Amino acid sequence: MESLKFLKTTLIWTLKAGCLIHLVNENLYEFNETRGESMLPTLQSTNDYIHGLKWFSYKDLDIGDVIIAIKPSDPNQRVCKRITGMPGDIILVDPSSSSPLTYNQTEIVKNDGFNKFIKIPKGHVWVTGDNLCHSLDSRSYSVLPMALIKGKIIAANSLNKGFISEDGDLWFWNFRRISNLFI
Amino acid sequence: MTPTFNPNFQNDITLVKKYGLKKTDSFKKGDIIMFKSPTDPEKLLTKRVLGLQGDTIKCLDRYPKQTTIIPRNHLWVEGDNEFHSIDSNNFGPISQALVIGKVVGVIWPLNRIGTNLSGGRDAVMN
Repeated sequence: MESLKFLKTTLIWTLKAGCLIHLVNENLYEFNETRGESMLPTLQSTNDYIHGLKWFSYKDLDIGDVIIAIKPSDPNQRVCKRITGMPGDIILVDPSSSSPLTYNQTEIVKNDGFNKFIKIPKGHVWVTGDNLCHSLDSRSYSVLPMALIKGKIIAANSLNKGFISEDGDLWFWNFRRISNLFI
Repeated sequence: MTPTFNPNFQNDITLVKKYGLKKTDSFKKGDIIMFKSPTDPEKLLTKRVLGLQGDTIKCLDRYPKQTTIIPRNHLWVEGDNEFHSIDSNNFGPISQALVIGKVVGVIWPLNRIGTNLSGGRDAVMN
């Protein structure tokens, strides 16, 4: 009888803790792994973990912020990019697609649509990765509706770096703030 | 969405399904969906799906092109009240990730339970 009661309270508290973690993770704060080369100078391609703020206002988003968003072309994937254009800005999509250094003449003609200016509509943003050469971003799927932005990234850790650096300094798994770099 | 919803100037209350919306085949033509407005992230819209990915759509006059092809994992949505609706003819195809629910049926007022929600124009070109 006693053990049954203990089991019941344990179960209830596990459930409560699970619900709390889910709520916090969905609406307040997220700590998650990121993978891929698209944000390379800012985030490593492996072993990097980000601190994401889920509680933000769309009005506070600004050019230069690093954000988590759902990929418009695949609802199951999330991407981590930097905002490089706000509603009303005029953007040159991808001038490198018409460069004679990397493409031959027929490809330049085919890519012509990318060497154009577009105006970002209301409620949308332009996002690009920091590593422009290896990033699938607004240059391919065009403007991103703000409603798809799920969080703002404020800091990152590299968990493979250890608590103490090679020089003997405390550096807490290379904890670093990710700030708005826009000048 | 009049006349499908709120036909007598009385607000309908509907049941909305919020799970199973992430797959490409979660939607079919004629479904009524609730989604976040692409032009204003704080607004919700309810429209009817008229085209899925890969379909060629005959657009209405207010869209800058006469026909358009829907990109991958996007939907073409329109309101049933053609002349009083802000829909894909204004903002283009919407991403499936914006969808937050699918309308199952009307539950209030009581005499409208089980109303047939089908309708919408045939917009896909063959």
